[in-house]
Amino acid sequence: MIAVLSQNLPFVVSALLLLIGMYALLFKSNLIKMAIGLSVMGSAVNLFLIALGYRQDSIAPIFTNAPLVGAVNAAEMAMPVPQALTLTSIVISLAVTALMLSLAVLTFRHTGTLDAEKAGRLKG
Amino acid sequence: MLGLDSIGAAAWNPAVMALAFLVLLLLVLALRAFGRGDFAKDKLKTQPFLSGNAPTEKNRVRADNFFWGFFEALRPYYRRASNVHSGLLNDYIFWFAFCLALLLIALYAGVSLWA
Amino acid sequence: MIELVQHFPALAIGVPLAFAFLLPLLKKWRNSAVIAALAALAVTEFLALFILQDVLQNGIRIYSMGAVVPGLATPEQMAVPVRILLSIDAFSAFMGAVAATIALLAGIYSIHFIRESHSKYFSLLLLMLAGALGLVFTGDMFNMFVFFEVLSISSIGLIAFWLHRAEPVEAGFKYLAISAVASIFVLFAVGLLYGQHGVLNIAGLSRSTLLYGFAFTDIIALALLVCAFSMKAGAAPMHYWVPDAYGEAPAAVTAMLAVASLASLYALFRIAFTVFGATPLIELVAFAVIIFGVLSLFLGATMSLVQKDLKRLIAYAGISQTGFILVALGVGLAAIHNTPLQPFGAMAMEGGVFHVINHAFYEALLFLCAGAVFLRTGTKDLNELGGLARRMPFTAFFFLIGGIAIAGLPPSSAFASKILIYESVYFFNPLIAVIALVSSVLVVVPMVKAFCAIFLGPEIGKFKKVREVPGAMLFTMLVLSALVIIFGLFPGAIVETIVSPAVNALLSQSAYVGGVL
Repeated sequence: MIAVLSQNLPFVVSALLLLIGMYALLFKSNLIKMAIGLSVMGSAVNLFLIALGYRQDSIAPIFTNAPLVGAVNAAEMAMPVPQALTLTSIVISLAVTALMLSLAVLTFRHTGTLDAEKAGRLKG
Repeated sequence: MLGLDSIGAAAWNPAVMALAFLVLLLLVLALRAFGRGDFAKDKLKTQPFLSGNAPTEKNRVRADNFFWGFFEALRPYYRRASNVHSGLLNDYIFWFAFCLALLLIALYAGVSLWA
Repeated sequence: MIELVQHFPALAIGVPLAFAFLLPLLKKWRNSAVIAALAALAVTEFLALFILQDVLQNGIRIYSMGAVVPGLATPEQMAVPVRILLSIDAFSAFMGAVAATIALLAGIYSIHFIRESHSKYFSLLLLMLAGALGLVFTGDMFNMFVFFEVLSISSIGLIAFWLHRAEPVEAGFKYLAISAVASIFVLFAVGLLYGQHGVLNIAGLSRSTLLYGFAFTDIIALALLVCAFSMKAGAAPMHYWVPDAYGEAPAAVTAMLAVASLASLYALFRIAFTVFGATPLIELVAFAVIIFGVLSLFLGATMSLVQKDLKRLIAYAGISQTGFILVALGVGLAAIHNTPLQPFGAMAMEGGVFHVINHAFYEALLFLCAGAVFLRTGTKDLNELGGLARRMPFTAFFFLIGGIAIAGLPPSSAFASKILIYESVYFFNPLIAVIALVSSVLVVVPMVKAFCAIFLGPEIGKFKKVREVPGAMLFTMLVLSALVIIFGLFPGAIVETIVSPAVNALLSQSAYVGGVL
């Protein structure tokens, strides 16, 4: 059990971060805390994607100056596709965080409070 | 559309329906032509009879009171349903997490037991 | 010129995207921004219809992004497709045509509806269209995620368009949180699928599940994808954002949001049918989808009655109709592995896919009529409105046609699709058909309430000066009503030409794999 956990530690941490982010979204009513929760969830998924592409003792997937196949310091390359997915995801979560914070600022300007229960007018 | 015998046949022909509508319209106009041409327009005797008070702007049924009987009969359901639709984002995410958890458990149980 | 035709799939996504980034430069010259936006929407509509006709004739169309020979899936003769593929089969082309049509009509409607910030509005609307078309045309899971995000984020700017009021901002915030959570879980699931199967291409994933079956990570990925896309489509019990977002957006944006929900439904069914269609997991997913559908049917129809706000009322009725589509396609999913029920499953899917296009049209029609009322009277509150049929007869007539359509009465197109759904779902499980029929009758109640509250009744003093809406808006409502009635008068022709190829494309996983790879 401990061995499984220690081998898959990045994935376990990623799941824990997802849960922490969901906790913030489920139980906190401050709009900024909800934005923080979403940001943490985005980071969790990025961590998961990076950890997905890693192989044991691998080097960066760059062909320039890479060691040749039969050489002494030959090594595998980590998978490049999840790294591309992560870059895209970072940019998207940047846009989402920026929009969430600006909408929170606008809500504060209109209603004078950042609490979702007090600032909310759409019910039913 | 699939030719299943148990459903049976149907006759949906828009040209025939339009033709029937035209024929009926001509019939109605012919019947109307049998009436008198010298009826008095805009007099009280040609207006529909509304018993009670005709609705005015101050004295009309508002939209909240439409279908009052239906709403009143289902009032316990509507009280609960409106409480669930609270408008809080936390509740929205809670229902998503709830459905996700249920679906994960159901899929895993279904796969372990039956596949 | 013939060379250009093979690039049409990429152009259909590229033209709205290019014009979306061009329009903020035209901010000062309002008329040129509007004309450029309408030109882009018209060109995209032409491209989408051309692609639909091409795919119906010639089968699956592939486009490798950035390759010298775009028509090949593996232009460099590799073992798996390494480029992003756009793979357009009949269902994708169908959804693309729906999206482009509604976007064009929404654009024409917005000329008079939007009074300021035209370049921002049309730029975001074109981005929404590019996102929706990219979502339905793409053949790559990660590309689907990216366009799903483009669609969601551009919708947020449009929902919160009237920033001077607090309610649209709150609705935008809620929609943003919901779509961010959904997309995070979609990305998680895409990562899981990549880790398990090694390819991101939808046809590649499909072939991998056909050959190797499914594993534990597939269960998690499938559950995440189904829940995330169902939430974005507005399925109960995750439907709470729908009335908020649909109610506070400008009317034409709400029509496009309905298209966005249908695009999420497309993604859900693409994954369920094409990627996982051969696995035994599908029966359980089918029951989940049917349960979502039944809950949406009932909750949408009943909660619609107690709304005071016109657009929230129509939004709840729209949730009910989304339940129809979910039930129909869920029955189709459940019948894949169940041989005696297969013709009924195919018929249910025909009804469901036909209902997709009907839903898009009459939902857009109802929201555009609601927007027309809001434009002229300045209020959406049903208690304040009244007696507008004297002043706005055309809007009343179009709203009536929309109400007839949502009730499923002939001669509207929804009658044909609902009859198909009732008759086939009855053989699957009669209780579901009964609930569908009861909700269809129940949803008439709020529509009657809305129509009588707004248009009938005595004349209200402050609405004495209300005029009819401008001709461009009436034209769009007329086109939508005409489409609803024409599809209703000739349903057999529509189902045979557009809907049946889409259903066959969706049901046949091996045809998709064979056509792409």
